[in-house]
Amino acid sequence: MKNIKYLNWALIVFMGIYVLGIFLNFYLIWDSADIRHIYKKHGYIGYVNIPLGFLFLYGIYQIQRSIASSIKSNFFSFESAVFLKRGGYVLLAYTVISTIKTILLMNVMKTEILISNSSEHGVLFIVSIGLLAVSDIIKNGTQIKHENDLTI
Amino acid sequence: MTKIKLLNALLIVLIAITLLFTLTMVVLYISSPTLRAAFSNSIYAHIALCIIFFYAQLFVKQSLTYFIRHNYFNDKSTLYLQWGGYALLIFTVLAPVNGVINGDPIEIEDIFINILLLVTFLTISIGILAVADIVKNGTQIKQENDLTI
Repeated sequence: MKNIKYLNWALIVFMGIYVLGIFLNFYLIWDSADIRHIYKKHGYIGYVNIPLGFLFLYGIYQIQRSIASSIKSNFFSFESAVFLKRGGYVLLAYTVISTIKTILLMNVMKTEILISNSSEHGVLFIVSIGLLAVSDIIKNGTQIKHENDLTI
Repeated sequence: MTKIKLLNALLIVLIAITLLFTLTMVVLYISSPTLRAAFSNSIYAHIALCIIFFYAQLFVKQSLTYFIRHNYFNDKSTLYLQWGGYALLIFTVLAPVNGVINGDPIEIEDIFINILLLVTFLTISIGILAVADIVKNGTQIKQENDLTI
């Protein structure tokens, strides 16, 4: 249970840092005419970062809710599996939209940024599938726990 | 079970990429005198980090293989997940330490991204350890259930 509690805290810290990142992004767009000009030049695709940031945050929030539910119900609960599944699908959607955005802006991106974005998308894709797999494990565990409780 | 199988396949691809990256790094280091001069102090540390990352992935992959074989809960999956989580945790801690010791140049605008990357990997490592705890608990419940039946 200790590790799950640590994970809960790590996710809360992660969300805090990410909210800071979203505000920084807002500030940079508001403050710098150059950034607005670059976004305009490339068909306003750069503005997709704002809803994408919120989508990612929502995904992480769902995972945090799942962890909190696991702590409350001593590991296994259907609620935890549902939140984790939702978090996995939201992160998957984020990964797909981000990849499309990267493909659209491929011609204007620096090579090192393109490589860093691609690896980020790869890691996120694996993490999303991992979350969906863990949600399956929790679902299965909850069923076994229910059977066990009924037998007792 | 489909998602676990898909994750297993993805991890095999990731392991292959890590191996390819490590081998390319070694070949480039041996063949280029410029790279040899630039990385003479840090090449072994970089290779060691790649090996730790490789083992972390291998342990998680082994755990998934046992999941598929034993239909979810079993003791070996827990053990491999724990090893994988700790290996990734060591990699996450050592990677920035290695960067600082070798004096890798970091631009100010990259600091935020590096912190986010560090927290991401730290979260993934703790996440793997947490899943190991869940699987351990599930295995105990399954054993109790099997004994009752």
